[in-house]
Amino acid sequence: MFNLILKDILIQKKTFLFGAVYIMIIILSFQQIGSPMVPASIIALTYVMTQYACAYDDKNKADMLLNSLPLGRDTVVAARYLSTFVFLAIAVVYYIVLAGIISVLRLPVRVYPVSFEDIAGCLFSSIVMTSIYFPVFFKVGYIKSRMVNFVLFYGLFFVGGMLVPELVKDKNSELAKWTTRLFSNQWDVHIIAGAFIITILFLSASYMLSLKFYRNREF
Amino acid sequence: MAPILEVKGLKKEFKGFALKNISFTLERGYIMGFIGPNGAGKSTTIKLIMNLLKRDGGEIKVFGLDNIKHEKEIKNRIGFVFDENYFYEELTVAEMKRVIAPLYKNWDDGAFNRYLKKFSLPPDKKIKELSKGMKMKFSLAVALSHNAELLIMDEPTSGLDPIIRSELLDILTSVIQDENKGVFFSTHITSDLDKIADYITFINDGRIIFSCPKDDIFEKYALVRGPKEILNTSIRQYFVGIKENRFGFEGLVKDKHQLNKMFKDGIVIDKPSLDDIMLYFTRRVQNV
Amino acid sequence: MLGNIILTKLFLVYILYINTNMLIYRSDRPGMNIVISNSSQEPIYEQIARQIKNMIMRGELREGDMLPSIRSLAKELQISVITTKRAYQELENDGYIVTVQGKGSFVAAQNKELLREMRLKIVEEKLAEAVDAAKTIELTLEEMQEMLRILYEEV
Repeated sequence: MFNLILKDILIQKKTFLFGAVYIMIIILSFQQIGSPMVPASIIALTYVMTQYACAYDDKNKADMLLNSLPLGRDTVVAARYLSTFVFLAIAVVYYIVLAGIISVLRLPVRVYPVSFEDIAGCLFSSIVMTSIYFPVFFKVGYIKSRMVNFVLFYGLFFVGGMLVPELVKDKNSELAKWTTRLFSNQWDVHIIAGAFIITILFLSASYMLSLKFYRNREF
Repeated sequence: MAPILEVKGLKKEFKGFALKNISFTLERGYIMGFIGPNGAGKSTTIKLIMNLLKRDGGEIKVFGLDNIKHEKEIKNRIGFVFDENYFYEELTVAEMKRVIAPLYKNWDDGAFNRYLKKFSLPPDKKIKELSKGMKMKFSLAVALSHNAELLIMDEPTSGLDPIIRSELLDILTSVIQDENKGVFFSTHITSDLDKIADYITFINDGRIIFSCPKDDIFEKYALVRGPKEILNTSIRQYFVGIKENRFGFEGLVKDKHQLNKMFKDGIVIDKPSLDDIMLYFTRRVQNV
Repeated sequence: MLGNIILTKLFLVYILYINTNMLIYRSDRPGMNIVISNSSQEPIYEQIARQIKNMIMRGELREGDMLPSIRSLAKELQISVITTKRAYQELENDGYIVTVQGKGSFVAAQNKELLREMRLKIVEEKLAEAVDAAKTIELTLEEMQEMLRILYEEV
């Protein structure tokens, strides 16, 4: 299984090279927007890497190879989900390193540190993103899934990147007030816990669905 | 011991094409050639064996085990070489190996490196930079480096020059020196099989036309050429197919021993090639 | 005149010498040769069986000699294993070889009388040839016998 994740990394050496560039671009374009640049850049890079891995496998007809090897289809699905988290971790590291370099060199670019809420937000949106995307991908393959892709990217990129941290940090916003009303008498921790459980359920449902689709796929 | 590959009553339906009741058996220690024209169902059959496609009916047993129930165990013991290279083009030979090797229980790194040397495959070369022949050799190196008992090959030599084809045949005969192994080799380049195959299974239009020892084929069938006057209704039924030209006819006879009783002079009897046999069975140019 | 006779004697000696050599297998002769034709009407397994039979009859293969395994023979000749198996089967059925499971195939103890008869026939044929050749230069029986005696004692 881990070789598959390794494979996902090895095939995109170029993306890794450009990872820094992607993050730079987002940092620069979010200069006015501020702290959302953190989750935005992390999610963007995670998204790019995941998409590239899926596209590449599809282009290479890797399914033929993977399913001829002594590899269960379940493992293939699991590896893909796991890869996303690995990519997420890598994206976080990238951001930290880049932000670090910028601060150390005292470049005239504003960067924000990564906070726990940021990571939680990224995790949340990544999970939502993959939970929606992967079952489609496993059912119809990369090319047909691109439409869903499009919607997801623009939808969740902004929603996840901006909304959740806002939700947790700024309690004065409308949405925050609304959610606090929902969970009246609940604390942040409980909101997070609630969201956590929901996302886990969501993820599991997605995983089950992906398994079902992929198991029945024909090549 | 159970046959190394056993297919019984295999069925698969597509829009516009169907595999109907495919059955054949391969015992250990032999090479079976799987021949048929393009679109006959060769790749479909192989994909069904590898469970890349789901069968609609019938049975497939590899090493005596059902190919779906024991899928992973079976694939551990199968070496496969497909016509298209499905390995990751961006990875180098060494990286590809690094991804694949741990998946096999009996991976033999020493053997793999020996094959790399034998085939002159540089480990740090990207797979996309390899020529078609080298890609096939890479597939072969992987297939032969985990102590596989059954080699399944789907048109491994299409597009390759006769020299590489002959190298491949050499390797296959070496593999079969071990009488526990088996080779299942689909191709439409039948000249490769004329020599080394032990059994031939011929598929056409989704049906098995015959599956028998190669020698039996040449003992039964004969290519007959002669003057058109000889052909009458009763004579024609001895033929699988007849080609008539301005100066005579050529035909494939089902049982050449019956021939000797009928004809006396004026005809020429030749040993047919597998190509001839395939041609006559698929064209069926016959007025019966 | 004398020179002629000596020359023809030498010539005849030469022919007989070569022919008798063919009856005797030199054990230092390397390997056995099997040559098959793909385009012959004779099935390949028969060609192989026939050639091995001949080698046994001619003494090139002796009792106890090990034959190549059916698989290595198939590989070398680039033919099917079933073909070589069948050839060996036939040889075994006819009593020329014996196959021991796990060990290999060996030339069987030949029916000595049969072999002897076959070789007798070959000697007869060769002598007939020599007689024909002798008669063309009007060699007498006594001269021939003298030659034979010399050769016999030499070899």
